[in-house]
Amino acid sequence: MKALIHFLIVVSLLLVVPAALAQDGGTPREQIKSIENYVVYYGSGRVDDLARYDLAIIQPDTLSADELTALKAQGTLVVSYLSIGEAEPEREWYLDGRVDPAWELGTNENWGSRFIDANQTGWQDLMVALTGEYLAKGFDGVFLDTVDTVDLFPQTLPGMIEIIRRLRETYPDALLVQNRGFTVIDETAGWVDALMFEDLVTTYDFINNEYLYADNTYVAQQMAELQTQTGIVILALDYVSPDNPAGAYLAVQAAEQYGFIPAVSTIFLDDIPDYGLDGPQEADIRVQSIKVETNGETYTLVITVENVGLAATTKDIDLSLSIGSEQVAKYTIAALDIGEQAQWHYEWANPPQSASVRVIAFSLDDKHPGNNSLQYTYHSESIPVEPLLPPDEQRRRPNENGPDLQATHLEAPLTMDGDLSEWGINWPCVDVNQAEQIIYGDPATWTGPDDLSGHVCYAWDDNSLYIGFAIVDDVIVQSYSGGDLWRGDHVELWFDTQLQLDFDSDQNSDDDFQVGISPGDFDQVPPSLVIWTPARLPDSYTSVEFAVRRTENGYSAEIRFPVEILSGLRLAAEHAIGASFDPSDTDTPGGTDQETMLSTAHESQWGVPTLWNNLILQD
Amino acid sequence: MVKRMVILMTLVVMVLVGTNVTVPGAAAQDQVKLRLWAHQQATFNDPLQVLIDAYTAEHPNVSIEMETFEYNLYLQTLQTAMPAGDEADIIEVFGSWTCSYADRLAAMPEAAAASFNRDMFFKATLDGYICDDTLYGLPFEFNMEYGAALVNKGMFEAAGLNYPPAWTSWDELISDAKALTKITDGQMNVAGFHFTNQDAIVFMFLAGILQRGGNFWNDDHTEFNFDSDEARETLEFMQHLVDEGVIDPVLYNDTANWSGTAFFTNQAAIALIGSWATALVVDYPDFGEFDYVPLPSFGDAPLFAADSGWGLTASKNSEHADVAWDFIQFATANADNALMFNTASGTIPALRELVDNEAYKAELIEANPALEAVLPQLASGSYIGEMPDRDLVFYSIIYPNVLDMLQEVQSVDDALAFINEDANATLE
Repeated sequence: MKALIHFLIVVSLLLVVPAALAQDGGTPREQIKSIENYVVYYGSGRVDDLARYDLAIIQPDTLSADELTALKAQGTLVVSYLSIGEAEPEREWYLDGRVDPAWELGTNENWGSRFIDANQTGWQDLMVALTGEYLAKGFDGVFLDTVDTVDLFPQTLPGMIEIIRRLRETYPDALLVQNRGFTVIDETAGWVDALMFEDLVTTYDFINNEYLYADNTYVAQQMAELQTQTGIVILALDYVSPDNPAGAYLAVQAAEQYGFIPAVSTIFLDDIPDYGLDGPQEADIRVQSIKVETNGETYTLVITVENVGLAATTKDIDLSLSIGSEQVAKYTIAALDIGEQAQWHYEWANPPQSASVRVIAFSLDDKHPGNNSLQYTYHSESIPVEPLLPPDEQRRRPNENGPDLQATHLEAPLTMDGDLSEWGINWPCVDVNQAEQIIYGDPATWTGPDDLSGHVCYAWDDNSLYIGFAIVDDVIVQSYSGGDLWRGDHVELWFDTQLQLDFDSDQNSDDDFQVGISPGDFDQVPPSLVIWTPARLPDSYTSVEFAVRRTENGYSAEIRFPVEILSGLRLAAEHAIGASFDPSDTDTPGGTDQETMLSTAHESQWGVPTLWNNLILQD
Repeated sequence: MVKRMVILMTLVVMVLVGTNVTVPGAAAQDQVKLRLWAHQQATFNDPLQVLIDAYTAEHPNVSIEMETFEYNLYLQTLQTAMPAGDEADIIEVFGSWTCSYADRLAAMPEAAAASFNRDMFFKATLDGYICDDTLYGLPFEFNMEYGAALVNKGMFEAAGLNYPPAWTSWDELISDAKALTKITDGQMNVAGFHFTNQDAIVFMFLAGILQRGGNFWNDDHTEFNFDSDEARETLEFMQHLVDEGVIDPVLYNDTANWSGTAFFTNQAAIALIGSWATALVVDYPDFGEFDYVPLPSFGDAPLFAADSGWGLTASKNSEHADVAWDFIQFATANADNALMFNTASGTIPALRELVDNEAYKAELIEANPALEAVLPQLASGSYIGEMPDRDLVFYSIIYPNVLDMLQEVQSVDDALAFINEDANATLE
């Protein structure tokens, strides 16, 4: 009832507010078509800074009425934030009980917000009412965030589309800016004025609090096509550390390449950072991070160096590694382009209980050498090591997750040639060939094991983990490689290398590996392998051996992962890790999307380790 | 001078026999092979190699090979090789040694010297390379032992003191130090203010004289003048610190509880030591937070004495001394190159531009935050002056006499008299 009262008040307010305040450039919906820049800022004040932009996306309560009026008077379109897929518990409209707890589907651990079932009429009404309130305050429209909730909860998709439809119907003159929601954009493009492509070339790792680069080439191309076809304005928003001009430069370049309007800011959007893109075009080498990877037996220092400046370096870069006061190693990396990273993996023999590790990069190309050194304090107890426990003391995934996967202990290494004849006929392998094992796609379109099925075996020795599998697939479709290989036929492998350490965590972290292997198309596109997560440079896992063969009814493959590649993995008899084996099928000729995926883990979801199988290393 | 490099170096008065070596100019396309000698210290040698690589890339007809020696061996090698005339073309030296070797070194070529602006470098550093008004080398760092102190954050906070301290007078420092001092069963466990290692005593003594308006040289720099009112006031002040109970000079000196070790093992709350000592923390990974803050001054300006800094010289025997000098200028007098060296090595700059230019200064401080306390003081430094045996004066005369005075083995007057007499004897 309370929500209804709010709604009625808003509607009555709207009656006295001009629906579309025509300005010099036309209505806001007309003006947005010609904006050249925009800003997203969730901090308070800074009207003069916001006024430098054609469009400002702000929070509903961070400017006073006078400030909002002043900002608009300077010609800036101003749009208010509105989360339509998640409820934020700190909002007044949440605290006052306008959100029925029954609508909540779960919690977004990154932000603490609640996923909401957009199908709920009450939620839809609330979104319409809040939009009315914001328009009544003087905002030109709303920025529709968290539309991507439909990807996590596909059942909410109709409701999400309905919210956007109702907003357009109720407020025909209001600006509607949709954030992502690529799954629904074909439906909503006719109602929204702009689409924001958040994370065009970057992403943020909330677990490690790191800004990372991401490859969204394919979706970006799709959105560029959408823009061409519909005229929808596309805003790119990337998150870059304020001291990383190269990241901002690359983000702007990428956006402009696709015809999008770029914006770059920090992850919390609480600043309007100046990345100095108009400043000197100079290289700036930075020792970005020093990390320790270990399986409890061997230790590796992973040193990441990045050029965060606005010019490429021209010469090789020397690195010096000191532990304590002693220089222990030197290394040379090749010249780095703008934004390019390089890694140095240093095998650290017998690390003490604690030590200071220092890396210095030397480059005369670098006019900002103040950040060319980094010191890291290592404490052995802060580096988690998976314990080796007797089987009866190990925590293992329940039977409901699916069958245990068994890895055979090898006497001698296997040859990676894609031929599975070396794999013993009696080895404990697992099949995925049942409709119940479909975890993605419409089961009705799966025509049976000949359409897609798999047979997977695991093995191990003291140095490596091996996977051999045979896939039955009646149509091989694959046009991609590298990070985009998921758009065609491929197999995904998940490993949770430290099962005991974070057994109860239902979010993937640094010990959870998602690997993709593509057969290629046995013509133009070669086989390829990628580690999608944890994010790492392809150069860092070139020691992974793999081979794929065409078979009579599909393809087979063998992969050898050196233990150091799967960080945290301990190879020991009767030790269990988490894993799943997920063959994926694309049958549409020229297809560019995943159509069906099977899994050894019955309820597998992306990045949820608690749903995977056990993989037990046999004695 | 840096603790790790402290050795007693008895300079041999070299008998400079030999022919006058002419220095032919290297034609542009001549293949020039130079050797560079340095002591083994990765923090110096790695960036120096980068400079060598950059120079030889710009001058493809020049090659420079760096040869390094363990520190003690390096000193011996210099003393034996130079009289024999088989030293390298480019020689890394400590500034206060330069004039002892000047007869074997090539002065800056006349053409370069004519246009060279000596004010580019801080006077305290460059003066070490000037002998009889002739320039024999250029410094790549500034050796500064006095002007700031390490402070232990945890101890200040536990004592309820403001942190980081911003002392405007010695009384404020003494007040903090007294609050930080810990004595158990009559024995000092934590020194509130540790100033009794060799370098701290020597350079505090010299700075105290200068800041009080005195000088430890006579007017024409022919004799030491350690028996002055300013010197007496300085020693009395040191004695006052002991009387206030902020240091026990028997338990804390250069051989027992040396200040760098004492600070990083939580046995000293404030430690007077050069900024280079901040790097010692790498050997104490469990040590807590600390800062490096300026000391108060006895006078209007934070005057201090410094013994130059490490730098590069060219051998008089080099067939390509002009090229050697060209490299020396490239490595030390070019601001970008010097910035790379100082940031990579964590050293204090000798080149003024790196401090006067805010952008360079910001880079230096980002690389080594301790420099924030140091950089504003550099212009107040003066060179200690040419001494035949600087180590003998500092470590065998000043330090033991002052320590004896602090340990009440001798009086202030006796200490001053002995220091003055013995130090002047080294000039004879």
